Amino acid sequence: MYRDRRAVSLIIIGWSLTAAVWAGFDRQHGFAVDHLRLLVVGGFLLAGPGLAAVRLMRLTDRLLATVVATGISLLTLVVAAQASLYTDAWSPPAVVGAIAVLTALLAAAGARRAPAPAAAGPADGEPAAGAP
Amino acid sequence: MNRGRILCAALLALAVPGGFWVARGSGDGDVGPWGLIGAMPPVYWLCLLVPAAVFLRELTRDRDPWLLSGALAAQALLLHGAAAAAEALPRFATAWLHAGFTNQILVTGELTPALDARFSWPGFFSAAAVFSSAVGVEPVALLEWAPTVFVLAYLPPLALLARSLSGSVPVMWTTLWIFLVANWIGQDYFAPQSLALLMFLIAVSVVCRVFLEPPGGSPQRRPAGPLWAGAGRLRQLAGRWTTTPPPVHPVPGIRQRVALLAFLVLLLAALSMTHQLTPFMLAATLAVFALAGVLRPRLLPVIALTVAVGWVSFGAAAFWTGHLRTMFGGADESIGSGVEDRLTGSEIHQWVLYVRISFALLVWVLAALGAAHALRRRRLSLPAAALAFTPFSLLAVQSYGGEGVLRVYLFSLPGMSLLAAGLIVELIGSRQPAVPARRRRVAAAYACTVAILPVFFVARYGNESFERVTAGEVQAVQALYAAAPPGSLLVSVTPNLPWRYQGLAGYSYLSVQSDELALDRAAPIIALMSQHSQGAFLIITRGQTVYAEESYDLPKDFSGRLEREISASGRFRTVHRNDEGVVYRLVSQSEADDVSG
Repeated sequence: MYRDRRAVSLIIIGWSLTAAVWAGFDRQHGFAVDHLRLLVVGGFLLAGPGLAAVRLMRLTDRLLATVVATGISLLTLVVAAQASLYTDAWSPPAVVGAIAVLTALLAAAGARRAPAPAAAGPADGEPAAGAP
Repeated sequence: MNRGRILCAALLALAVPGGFWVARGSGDGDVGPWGLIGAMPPVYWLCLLVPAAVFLRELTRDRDPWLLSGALAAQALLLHGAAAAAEALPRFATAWLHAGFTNQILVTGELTPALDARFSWPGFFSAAAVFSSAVGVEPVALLEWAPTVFVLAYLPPLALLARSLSGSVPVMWTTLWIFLVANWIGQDYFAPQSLALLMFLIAVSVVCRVFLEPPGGSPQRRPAGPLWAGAGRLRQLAGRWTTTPPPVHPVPGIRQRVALLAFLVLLLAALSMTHQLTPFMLAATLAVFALAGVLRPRLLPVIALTVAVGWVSFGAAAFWTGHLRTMFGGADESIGSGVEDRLTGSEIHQWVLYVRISFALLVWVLAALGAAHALRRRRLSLPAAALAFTPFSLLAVQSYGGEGVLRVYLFSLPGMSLLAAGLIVELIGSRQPAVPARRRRVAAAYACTVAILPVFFVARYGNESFERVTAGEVQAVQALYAAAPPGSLLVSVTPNLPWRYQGLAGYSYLSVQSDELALDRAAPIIALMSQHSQGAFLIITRGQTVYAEESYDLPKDFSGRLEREISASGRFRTVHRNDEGVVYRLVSQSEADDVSG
């Protein structure tokens, strides 16, 4: 289990670095590469930070974790872009770089945390034990 | 997996690419006055029926979550991605303008609220600028599939919301399907409100999952005061007839709740930077939860309101100075300009509007019946009712440029879908007994599903004759930018033009509307353009003229007459002409006299 967590963290860190580097390129490379870039870099911006943060929060309800991960990724993108804009330091590659660093740090912290205890009880979304 | 489910999965896997394949190019020709419904090939309708049939089959039989998810995703793609599949270029002129806002921030790194009030809420545009730069595409390239992506993104938070409030898996799935089919409103294009609605749904769903508890759960923490005392009596009354869903498994621990609360506050901040209306809608919804006594912590709506007002006070001060009337128009204005003023235009355009109104009323009536049914059984979900009916308070305070009623429908749709889903699941009944009565109800559900899909197409894509964008129009706009020196005045005869996606700050723009100027007369246009000393250009395109004919009910030949007047005036030189548009340059009177002499 602990190895799995470390492997996932390493994947997220690698994803962050790839996205940060790729976002700095200007040139178009052709249909396949451009669509791969959309998947890797775009997917990172819309899911990466949230995924790292949710692992740190140890949410075991998958639907809740999915929703929170999306929300964290969106707010990170909006707030980071706003910060770049309002501090007169506008640089989209720097914004992506900052988000990548934050994500990598969250992923590294997530790897160090012990895994969440297995939640015994009814399936996700079912009324909790003892609920009226 | 049995054979039936394998067949369903295979049909779903074929329906989406097959539908998109047969639809390609269908929207690029003459789509007809009823919009895309007249342009889509018959095979597309078959493909569209597949996800609906699979969804109903699974909902009434096995409820396999993968097949239900796949059916919903396929339905979302085929319903909300139809225009992207059928048309070569992104639709809707306003989306092109938003690409221009994004491009302006991307290129200059500066906000220009003097150009447009929307720069006072730049969260979406700055995020889109970073995104387009990072993925290496122009902002215009993001327009085409934005509606489909947003609609797909709405589904997980809506599922969490429905599951938390209903505690019923069938109701959850049915809510999602109703939301997909009833969301004809088209507010999911490349726009701040699309992102804001997603944030709204995320915030409300997390609140409903984690921060709701039965009323009176912590009496020792209950605040004092007449407001809370009055609310307490109301809560007692409501408590007899309504219910609050029990906590669901797994219950988050205290650290997780604190982390999720911090997340919500940050999300509120991001939302406040993104859209002017949605943060207040969220604060109102949370306030109703708090007054109903089901929200912990109760101060969350106060935090939401403080953050929203804080951004309006400081971040958007450039907008509201002198615009308070615009921000807080009255109910009469909201309802009047939202409904009556929109019921104008050609006969078919009015029929499209009637279909939209009827569709909205149908959803509201179904939801009201669902609420009444649940209330009779004393099982009405109080938060669901609050979510459905709180948006109507918007009509009392916000005109929103005459779109108040549309916004009410949009924000009420998640709650209304949930209430209507409760009724429909009750009507269809349990999946176990295959009694004849239930078979008849399931058959009726299939029939209703088949009937509602074309209605969605009319409501959603009924204005496609002028909302679509053609290659010829974009070519004319590009010719306009190529010919006009910076600082020129650019004039369009109606606002329905895909321009300003570039050169936003470099030109003066003027969209002439029918209530400002007679469209079929050249003289007032010349008078208006002559006032500008740095050169003036006029563009007339197919989309503009169809918009004027459909929305303003101008005669079919008005653009021909206008062009004849323009030609007779001698004041215009043709810069560019193609089948879809023409660009003129205004020349001075002396230059015109020289040529005619």
